[in-house]
Amino acid sequence: MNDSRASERRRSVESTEQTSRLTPYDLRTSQSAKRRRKLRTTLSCYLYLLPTLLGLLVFSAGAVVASFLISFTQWEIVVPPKWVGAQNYVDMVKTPLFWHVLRNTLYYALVYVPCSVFLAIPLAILVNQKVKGITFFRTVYFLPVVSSGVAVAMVWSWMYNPSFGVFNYFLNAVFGIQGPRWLNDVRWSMPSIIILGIWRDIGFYMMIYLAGLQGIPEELYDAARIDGAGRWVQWRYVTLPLLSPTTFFVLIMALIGSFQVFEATYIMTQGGPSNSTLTISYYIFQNAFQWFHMGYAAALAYVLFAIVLTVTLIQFKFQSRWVFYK
Amino acid sequence: MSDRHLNRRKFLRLTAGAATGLLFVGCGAASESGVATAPAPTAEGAANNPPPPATSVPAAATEVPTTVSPTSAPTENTELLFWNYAAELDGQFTTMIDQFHGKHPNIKVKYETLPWDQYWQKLNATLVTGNPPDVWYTAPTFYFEYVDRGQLVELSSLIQLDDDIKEDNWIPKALDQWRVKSNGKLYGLPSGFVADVVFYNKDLFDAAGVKYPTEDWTWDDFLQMAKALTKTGSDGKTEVWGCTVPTGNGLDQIIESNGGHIINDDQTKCLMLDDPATAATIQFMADLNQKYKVAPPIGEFEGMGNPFMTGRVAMNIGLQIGAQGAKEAPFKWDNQLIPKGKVKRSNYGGADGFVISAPTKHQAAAFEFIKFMTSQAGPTLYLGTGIIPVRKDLAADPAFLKQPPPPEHYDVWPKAVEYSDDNYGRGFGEWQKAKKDALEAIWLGNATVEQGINNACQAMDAALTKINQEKQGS
Repeated sequence: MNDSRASERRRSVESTEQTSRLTPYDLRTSQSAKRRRKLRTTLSCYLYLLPTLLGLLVFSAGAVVASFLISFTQWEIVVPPKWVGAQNYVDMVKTPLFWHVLRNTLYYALVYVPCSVFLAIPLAILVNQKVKGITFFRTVYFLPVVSSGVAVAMVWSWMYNPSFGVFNYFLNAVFGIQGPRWLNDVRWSMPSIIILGIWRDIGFYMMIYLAGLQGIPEELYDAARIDGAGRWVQWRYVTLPLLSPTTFFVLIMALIGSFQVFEATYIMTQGGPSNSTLTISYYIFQNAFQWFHMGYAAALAYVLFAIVLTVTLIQFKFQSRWVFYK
Repeated sequence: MSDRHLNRRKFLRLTAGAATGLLFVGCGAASESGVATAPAPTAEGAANNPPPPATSVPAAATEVPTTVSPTSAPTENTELLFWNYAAELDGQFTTMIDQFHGKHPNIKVKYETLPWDQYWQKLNATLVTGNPPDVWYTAPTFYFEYVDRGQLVELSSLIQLDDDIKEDNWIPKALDQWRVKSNGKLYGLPSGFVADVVFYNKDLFDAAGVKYPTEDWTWDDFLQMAKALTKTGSDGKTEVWGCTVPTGNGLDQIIESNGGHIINDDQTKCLMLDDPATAATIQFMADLNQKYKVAPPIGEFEGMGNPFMTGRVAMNIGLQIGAQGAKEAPFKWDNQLIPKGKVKRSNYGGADGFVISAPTKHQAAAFEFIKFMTSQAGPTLYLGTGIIPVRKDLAADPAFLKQPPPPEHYDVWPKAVEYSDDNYGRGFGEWQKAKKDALEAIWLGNATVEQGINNACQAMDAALTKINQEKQGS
């Protein structure tokens, strides 16, 4: 959505540049030459898009259609699939573990998304200050985003160690309290995964908010100040409304991301203890690649797709109530 | 200006084309160079010269009974693709393939090692597209998945027709594990074994003045030793744990050794509720942590690798292959068999080995190859790899039993093979996971033993129903 708008804008910029380079001779050329040029521009645009489109067609489109069909089969991968109708979907709703997995995934999303948004905004405001060496801090906060997820998860599982980990050492040394057993306590395992998720992704959302903040025209603040607005009022009535498109984007990205959380649970808990961190994408992975239930896994994937699609559509539907575009 | 513009476009078009071309070539080259092809004699030389006699291969000289006569091997030139996931066996396999090439110049083995994470996914992909490796190395977990789906060549009839290969040469346990229950036939040849043993820290035993465990020890002895070995520091925190709680696959065999049950022979039903011995054993294990405090809570050594290596655990149950990593330990240690159960002696164990893919076009050559890999390897096979050979002669070979310590008692390993049992079958990974997830609540103190076992049986039965429905459906 945003992408296409941006590329449209880019395209219009390009065409104006081209117009400005035109010589008087060019202006006298016939309509057909113009049409030809336009055609050429269109074609070259598509040429540039081709690698992405090809990749999408070859690696995604086929798989998307195929997996939909596979979801109606019993396919054990190494033997030909067998058509079973909606059996996989029926099995799914009858499996208690599926509902458990769905609850876990919602738990993750409902904590992760608001926390990410509420922490990313103040962080972005902080790193938007014009002080010396601010790029250093921006880099530091962004670093987890570009770090290897597997390596990060391994280091964190060590930091979460109940007796020798740095978190419980810190809790004990500073507050004198005995920390929880983190990944080995069914009440704390999911919060542990969520904390890691927020820490890892917050830099990304911060960057987007930073861009959003810097896109707010200074004259709006000037006008507000002339009208006697204080800092809080400026923030509440200028910054926040003008950040709403950014928030909208971040919300959608965070929500989709949270439905797909996989790496941390795969490396750190394998869905445990007692399935307390088993999320839907890991459940799909288990069924597809460990237990030869490719058909069931495809059905799960389509349910995940339906959930993500529904939630995203709802967000788009309600955006007019709170998202302001300049 | 306009010329230059065109030129630039042309240039762009050209470079784009070239880049795409390079990309394809690059990919091809990359995958080609990623292949560890074992050197082989040229095909021409192979066609003109008869294969050298078997005695010219030094390592094979000691293997008289299974010498392959040159005539039994296929005569046309063949290339076999062989896949392995066990990187620790790379050196051994490469040497053996070299020897194989010496004996069978007309068969070229293309050898590739893939990391475990990708191995099964890639294998499945090749099976779907119809060009799987002719021979692959398999773990017992996955062996039955492929047997059951008709992807492996049945070998019992081939073995019967072949004079060179005798089932008698194998430790019976290993072959029996790979026999399919319904027809008693083999669909692969096991070659290396892994089994659960107890690792014990001799320094901690010495410090506590506890005698080392002997082969005939019981779980009572285990608990008494664990109590004596557990040491609490001045701050009230435990410095040395007597043992850990065994929660892995091997718990099944410990339960069964005490007279309990896990699953019925047909693998359709959970039997954990059928005998109080099951609950009693699980209670005993939970008590190690919750009542006697001789074992750390689950996850105490999270993120720190093997708990035994921290030097703070006196006894730890684990696969003997862990000995490779434990060689670096800054303390003295040894292995002993898992304590005797109330009704029998049993520990977990499983065989890795070679299978031939059903769609292969070179079945005879592939059989020749796995025959060589399981029989002609000579006594050096599996030395220094931490793996137990499953041939009687190799397991009893002094060269194997007198490897440099630790452990001092390598003879514990072949014994652990003798006492090993397993519950392998189709869907093993799935129902094991269902069971373990439910039992985890017991270890964490979130459920009583009774609740935990009830949940485990429910989850297991659900998984087994699904597995068996699929089995009937396919």
